[in-house]
Amino acid sequence: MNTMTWLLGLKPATRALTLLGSALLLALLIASQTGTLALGPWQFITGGMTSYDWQIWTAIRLPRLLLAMLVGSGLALAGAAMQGLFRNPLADPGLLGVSSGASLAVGLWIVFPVAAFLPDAWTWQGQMLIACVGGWLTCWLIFRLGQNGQGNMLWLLLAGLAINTLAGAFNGLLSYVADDQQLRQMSLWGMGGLGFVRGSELAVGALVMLPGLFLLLSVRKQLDVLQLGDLAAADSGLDAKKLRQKVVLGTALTVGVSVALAGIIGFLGLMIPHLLRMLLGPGHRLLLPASALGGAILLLLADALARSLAAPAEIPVGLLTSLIGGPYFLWMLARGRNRGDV
Amino acid sequence: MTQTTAKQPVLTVKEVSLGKPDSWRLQPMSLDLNSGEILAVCGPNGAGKSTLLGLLTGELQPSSGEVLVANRPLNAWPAAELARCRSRMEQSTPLSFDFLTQEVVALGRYAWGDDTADSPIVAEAMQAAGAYELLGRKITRLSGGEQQRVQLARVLAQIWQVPNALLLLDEPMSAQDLGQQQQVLRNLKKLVKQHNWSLVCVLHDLNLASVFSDRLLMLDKGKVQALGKPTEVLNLQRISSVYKAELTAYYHPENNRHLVMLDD
Repeated sequence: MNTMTWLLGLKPATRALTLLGSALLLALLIASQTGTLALGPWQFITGGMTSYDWQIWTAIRLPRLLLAMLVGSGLALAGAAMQGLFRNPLADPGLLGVSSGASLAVGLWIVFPVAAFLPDAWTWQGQMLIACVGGWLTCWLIFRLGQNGQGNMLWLLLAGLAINTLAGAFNGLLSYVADDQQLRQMSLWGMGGLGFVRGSELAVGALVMLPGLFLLLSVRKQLDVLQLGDLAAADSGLDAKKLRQKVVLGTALTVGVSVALAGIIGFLGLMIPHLLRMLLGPGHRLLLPASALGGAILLLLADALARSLAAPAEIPVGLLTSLIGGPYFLWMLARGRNRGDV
Repeated sequence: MTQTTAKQPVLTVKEVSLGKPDSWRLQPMSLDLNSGEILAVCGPNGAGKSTLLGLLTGELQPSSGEVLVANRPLNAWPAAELARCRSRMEQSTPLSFDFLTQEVVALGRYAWGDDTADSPIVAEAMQAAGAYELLGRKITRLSGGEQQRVQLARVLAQIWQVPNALLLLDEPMSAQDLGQQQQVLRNLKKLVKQHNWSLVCVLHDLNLASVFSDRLLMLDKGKVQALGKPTEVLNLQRISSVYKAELTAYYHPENNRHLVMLDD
C-alpha cells in the first residue's frame, strides 16, 4: 500500500495530525540547518560533523529549536483555547493583553529588586514565575470584567487595548526608574527573540509550561460544549467554572513562560487557530492539538527566516511574526465584515 | 432496558418562589409531574414561564421551597448524573463557530462520553426532531427554525432512551411552520409515551398546547392562574383576562374542544 492510499484511509482527525506532525519534522529539519552555521541534514544524520560543529549545535542551535517549538505551540494553543473560552475567533493572548501583563510583571521584577535576597542563579526562575503570575492576573481580570460583555468582540478588544496601553505606559515609566544595568537587561529581554536562552533556562521553562500545555489540551472536549453558552453547557453536565479556571491557569502558564523566555511574540495565537479552523472545522478536539503543532511549525520557520534574512545579523522573530500577523488580522477583520459576523 | 409502567413522580415542586412578596418573579407554587406526562406552560410575555423553567433546572435558586427530581432535591444531584436524566432547551442557543449540525447534536452526549458525531443516537435524535435533512450543513448558515430543530435534536440526544427522564422545552416551536409543528410534536409525544418521559413545554400557541398536553399551567404576572386539563383551563374568560385580548370561543362538536379566535 502506498503512502497516499494509507493517508486517505485514515480518519480525518488522525490524517490532519499525521500531516501536521510530518510538517513539523520537516520544519525542524529545515530550521536545524539554517543560520550562521549551515549544516546539511545529511551531515547531521551521517555524523559528518566536527566536534566543534557538534558543540555549537547542542549548545546554541538545539535549545533554540526546542524553544521555538515550545513557545510556538504554547502561544498557538493558548490562543485557540482563549478563543474557545470567549467564544470569539479574535481572542488572542497578545491582543487581549495577557502577554503585556506578563511583560509588565517581568519589568517590575527587574527594576524593583524585591528578590535581592535570592541568589543570582535564581533570578531568572523568579522572572519566569512572576511572568506567569502577571499573565494569570491579566487573564483573570479580563475574564472578570468581560462577564458583562459576554464575549462581545468589540468589548474584549477594547479591554485588551486598554490593558496593552497601560502595561506599555508602566513599562515606559519603569525604564525611567531603572538604572543602567537594569535598563540593558530590560531592553535586551524586551526585544524578544529565541536566541538568548541557555539550556538550563529552557529546561525549567519546559517544566513549567508542559503542565500548562497538557491542561489546555485536556479541556478540548469541554470547550466544544461551552460553545452552547454557559446555561446550555451547564444543562449538559459541564462545570463551566472549573473549565474556566483550567483555561485561565493553562494560558497563564504557557504565555507566562513564553514571555519570560522569548519576550512578546505577537499574532501567533490568532493566526494559527484561525487558519486551522478554516481547514479543519471549529471542533476543539482536533483544533487544539493541531494548533499546538501548527504554532511550533510556524515559529520554527519564522525563526529560521529571522536568522537568515539578514545573516549574520538577526531580525527579532517577534517583529517578523507581527509583520505577517498584522496584515493577516486586518484581512480577517475585512473578511468578517463582509460576511457580517464581526 | 428496564421500563416501569407504574407512574412515578419525576418532578416535584414544593412551594417554590422567587423574589419578595412585593416584587415576585414567581409566587409560591407547587406542582407534581409524573412519568409519561406532558405539561404545557402558557401565559403572556413576562408571565414567569422561563423563570419557572430556570428554577426547575437549578439555573435559578428559589427564594423559598424546593425542587425535587425523582424525589431527590435538585442541589443534591451531581451535575453529570442529572444531565443524563434531565435536559433543557433554551429559547435560543447562538453559536459563533461553524459547527456541523451533527456535531452540535453530538454535544448533547457530553455527559455520556459517547459524544461523536457519527453515533447512531445522533442520527435518530435528528430524525425525531425533524432535523435529519440538515445533516452535514453548517449551523450558522441555517435559518432560525432549522437551528431550533437542531437544538431540539441535541436535547433529545442527551436523554435518548433513558426511561423516566425529564425534558424541559422553552418555546421549541416558536420558529416552526405549521407542518413542522405538527410533525415534531407528534414525534415528541410518541417519545414521551414510549420512554415514560415527563415533558414540561412552554408554548405560546394555546391551540397547540391544548392538543398536545395532558395538563396545562397558566401563568400570569408570576402567579399560577390555573392548572389542570387543557379543556378546563382554557375557558374564554380566563384567556381574555390573562391575555387582555378580545376573543370569541367557538365550540367544535367533533373533537369536543373550544376554538378561541381573536376578534377583529
